Amino acid sequence: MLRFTLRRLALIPLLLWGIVTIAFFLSRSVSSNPLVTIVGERNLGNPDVVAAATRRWGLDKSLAEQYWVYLTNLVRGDLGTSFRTKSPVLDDLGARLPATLELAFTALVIAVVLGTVGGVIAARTQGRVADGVLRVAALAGSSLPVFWVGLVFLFVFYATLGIAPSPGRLSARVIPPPDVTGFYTVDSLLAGDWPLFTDAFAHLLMPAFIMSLALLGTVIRLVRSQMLEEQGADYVRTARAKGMARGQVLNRHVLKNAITPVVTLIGVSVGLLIMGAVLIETIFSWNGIGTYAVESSRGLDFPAITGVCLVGGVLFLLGNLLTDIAYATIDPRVRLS
Amino acid sequence: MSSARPSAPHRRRTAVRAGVVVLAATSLAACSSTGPATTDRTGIIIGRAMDVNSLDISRSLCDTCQIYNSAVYETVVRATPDGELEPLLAESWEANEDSTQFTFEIDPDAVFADGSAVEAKDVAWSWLRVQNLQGLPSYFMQGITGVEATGDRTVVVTSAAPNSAFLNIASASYMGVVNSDVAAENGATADADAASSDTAEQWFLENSAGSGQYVLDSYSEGSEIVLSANDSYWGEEPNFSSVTIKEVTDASAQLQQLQQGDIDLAMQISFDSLDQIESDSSLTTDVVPSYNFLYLALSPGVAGGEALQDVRVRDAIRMGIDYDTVIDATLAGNGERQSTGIPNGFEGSEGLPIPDFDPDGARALLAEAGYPDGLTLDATYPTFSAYGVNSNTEMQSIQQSLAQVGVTLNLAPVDFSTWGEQIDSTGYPVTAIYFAPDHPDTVQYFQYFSLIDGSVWAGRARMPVSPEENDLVAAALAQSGDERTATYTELGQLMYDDAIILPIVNPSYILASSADLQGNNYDITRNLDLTRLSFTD
Amino acid sequence: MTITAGPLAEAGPFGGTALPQAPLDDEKLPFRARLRRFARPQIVVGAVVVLVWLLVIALAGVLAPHDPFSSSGGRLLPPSGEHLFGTDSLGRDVFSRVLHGARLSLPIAVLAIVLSVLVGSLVGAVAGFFGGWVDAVLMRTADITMAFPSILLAMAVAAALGPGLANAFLAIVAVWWPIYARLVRGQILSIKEREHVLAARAIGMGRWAVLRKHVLPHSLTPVSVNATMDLGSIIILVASLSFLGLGALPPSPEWGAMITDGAANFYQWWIAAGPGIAMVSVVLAVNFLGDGLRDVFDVKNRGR
Repeated sequence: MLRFTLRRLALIPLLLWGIVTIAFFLSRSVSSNPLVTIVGERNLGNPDVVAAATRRWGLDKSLAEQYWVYLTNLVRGDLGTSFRTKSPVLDDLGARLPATLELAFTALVIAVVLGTVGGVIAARTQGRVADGVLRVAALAGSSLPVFWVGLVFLFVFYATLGIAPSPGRLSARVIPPPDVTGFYTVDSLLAGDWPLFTDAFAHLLMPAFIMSLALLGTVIRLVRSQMLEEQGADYVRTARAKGMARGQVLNRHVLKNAITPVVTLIGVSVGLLIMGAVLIETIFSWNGIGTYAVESSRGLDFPAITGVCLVGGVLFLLGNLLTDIAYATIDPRVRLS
Repeated sequence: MSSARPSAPHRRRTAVRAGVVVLAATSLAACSSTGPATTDRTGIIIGRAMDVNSLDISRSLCDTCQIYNSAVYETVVRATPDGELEPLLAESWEANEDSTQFTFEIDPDAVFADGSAVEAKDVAWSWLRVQNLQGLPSYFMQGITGVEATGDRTVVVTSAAPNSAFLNIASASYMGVVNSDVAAENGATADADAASSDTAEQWFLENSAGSGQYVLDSYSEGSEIVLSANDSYWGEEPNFSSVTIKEVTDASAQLQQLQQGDIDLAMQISFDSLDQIESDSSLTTDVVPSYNFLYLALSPGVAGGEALQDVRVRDAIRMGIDYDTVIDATLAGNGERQSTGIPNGFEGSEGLPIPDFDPDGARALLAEAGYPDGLTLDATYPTFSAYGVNSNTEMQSIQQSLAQVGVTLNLAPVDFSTWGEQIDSTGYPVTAIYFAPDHPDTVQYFQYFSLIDGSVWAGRARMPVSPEENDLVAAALAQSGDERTATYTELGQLMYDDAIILPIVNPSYILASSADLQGNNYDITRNLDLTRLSFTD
Repeated sequence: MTITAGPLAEAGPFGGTALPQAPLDDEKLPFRARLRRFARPQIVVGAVVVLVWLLVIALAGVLAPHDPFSSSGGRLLPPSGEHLFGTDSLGRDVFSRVLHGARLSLPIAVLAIVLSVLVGSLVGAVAGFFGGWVDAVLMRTADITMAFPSILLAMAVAAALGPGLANAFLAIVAVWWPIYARLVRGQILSIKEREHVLAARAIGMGRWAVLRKHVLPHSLTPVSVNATMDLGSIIILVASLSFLGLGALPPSPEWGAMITDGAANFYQWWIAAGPGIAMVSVVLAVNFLGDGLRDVFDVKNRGR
């Protein structure tokens, strides 16, 4: 087990280096000039300002030199300074990561819980209406453009019905909790501020739910198919033959075995969640990594783009690693391959 | 297989029950409690799309920066809405006869937020820093050869050539005075090599070092800037205990939040919503003229612009635009026509000819210039939405009216970065962009648009410099009062004749705030002057 | 016990593998019976909707009541008889724009997936078949590309290339090819050691020929099922990029760009509703198709 994990871990630096390199060269191979973002239209025609800015941001160095500087800084934990925010990319990411993680984690929980319940119901009612409806719903979940659904939900539940709170992490004029983890829900509980927790949680629900949709569909179908498969398995038939009630068998043995693959799915879902984050955060005015990524791309903010790709890559790889470890724990054959 | 755990359906049921209980408790708590702690109603919340490029006053140049800089820092003189100059940090000032030297006497009562006195050395340091950082506002100090503190409270500024615009320039929010001791302690410098040795920009993201009514409390990038009242302010007490500039990106979101009371003031409501808010009694609305404008720029000297070298063609294009229709399409009619690159209301703009839509005249001129069947031009422009106008709407409308006079415009919208890269290198024969004033003096427009040495558009359009315009600008900078106004007007007329810059519209500006607020305004140097704003109770 | 001998059964040098028991292999069944396998509700519904959209793409010019690029009424008008989905911020008929948008969003997505499949399959085939360091290099590249969260990589590529639908298309291909590389490589590895392939090599068939005649056709089914299921995600990815301002530029009636306009005019819900509903219908249909096809070809789930 250890060797397996170590083997996997050894790959990570290589992959991360690959991500950083690709992101670095991609962002700098632009056909347009990031100086526009830095100096603005007014000063584009001013050679002194342009020259000073070029020097200041290291854009006068050759690409190879810039790459070397970036890598050497990266090893020391310095991700460079954002052209746009003028503060270190690491600080920017650190400030924004909790918001995205809070959203993603909630989405994950919703997807797993609702998905498992849905999958079980579908399996139990196999062939009947509920099963069909759930299967279609599952398919729909993966078919919906997340950003559009977000707009629809906002329009229906917020603008029209007034049930959902306004986009954003907290209601207007509400003072955020003292910063401990950066998760407003956790921090408000730590501060013992129940109304604040309710406010933060209420704001979290809708974007997290929409973010969970893609994953929800997959979980429902996975749990359903796993449970159906288990149903036909030998040990189930044996238990039934021995006289155990259908319900009992379904639940005790089958559910446990059916849920395990879902656990492994969690690691892989990181990619989906990141994608959701980028789109949902824009609509729900959520100040997280997603909006940072969008603004950085638009402004050709190289250090920020590279930094975001790095963070995304790290999360993705960690997720995959967890999945692989989970798989290996369940299925020894994988370990030995 | 027996286990100590309860069976799955039992577990599930329990879980569901627990969930229901939590949900019920939550909603009950929400209803019965007084809600989370909110900010005071003595603090104002302003909603706008923040375009902050820096919180370091000597490096910033943006609309939001103007609000921030003027709230937290102060200039030596202050520009009033009628275009006069009032004392602020300087209690008196004078210029020498040929406007090559300016002397300011700093008010002895002026103190920074940390209690230390505002001294001449701080003024000198701040202005030299603007110049030496070679950042975005550095051109304000163009031509200034020296800034010296000749005493504790006396500052002398020397300019190589006459520069009668300097006093107006000094009122710009970017020329605010920084507490040099505090800033220098944190990596700021005004030395000649400041461009490479200054390291304070990040410090300024969390701290302010000014003498203004407010100090920086916190800045959360992409989210909000929070200012709190300066308790040691040396002048009139600030009207608010705190000022929050909140990022609300869309005009529709600003409208919504304004109507729900989430923000007290919205700065970028669109004209489409005007009817909606005018009839809302909980809001105060007004439409006022602004000094911003959108314009077409013709570059005869670039590839593809050869036809534009004949001034009759450029005149014809000016006559071929149906301004009223374009203003209707872009701003629902809420804008004015403008003569040339000097905004309506600025010194020198009075009396200049306002362009009219004259399709017959345009066609005749084109025929005269050798294009009886019209001509085709490529128009590449950045995609943007500024001051209520969407560039695509604007250009499509212009395309439609020019088609009537035989000018076919091929529209190519590009993103801002691409445009920025090309405009100063290969250039575009026809393009569209906008301009907002940085300070109250008209000279900025000549320096940017006229055919003079160092003018940005003379360079972009690849047009030869006009010696007459060069001389006139130099002369104007040595004049003052009515004499200068006359010279400015003359320069304006020449700019109009050059027909390189064709203003399309001068948009009006919507002032929208909660009815509890009075004094909402639009200000040249401050963008929003917080000193004139207050709650009505 | 099931055997899928595949098309090689008839083409192999050692003759067919006709088994004495009832044929379980699709290709052995009479055509009508094979077709009936596809008559599941999912496939039928999916195919019908897809066909409708294909018609729209072909006939958008005729079906659209107004010109999608110019104003045909007042601005921001709500849906009416004249304008089924109302008008947008420039007075253009949203319904017409949705129809014309199909010509942009759908073919680009199809092209993207086709190109991804081609590039990916080629890479995977080469890697799987030649093995060794070629395999290692190609697969590590694929791994790195897959380690990128797809939206970020697409955004980075689109940002590098500049906005525009063509560049968004390239960005998507750059993101998507590794999936097919992995898939095809896996297929190849699994059948490389099969008898008939070894036999073919034994009689001296060249590596490329074996690849072409024996290996690739076998991969066709899983690849095409996967591609159909991915098509929906790609359509959404194209729209997402445009929504973020990195794909189609205005005044293009691409669906993602239209939804951006809809978000800016939030209260005029019809502007975003039109393209959104269109996109959902297409993607659902394609996903139904893919799901159904997978059920048909997936032996394990037969009978469910």
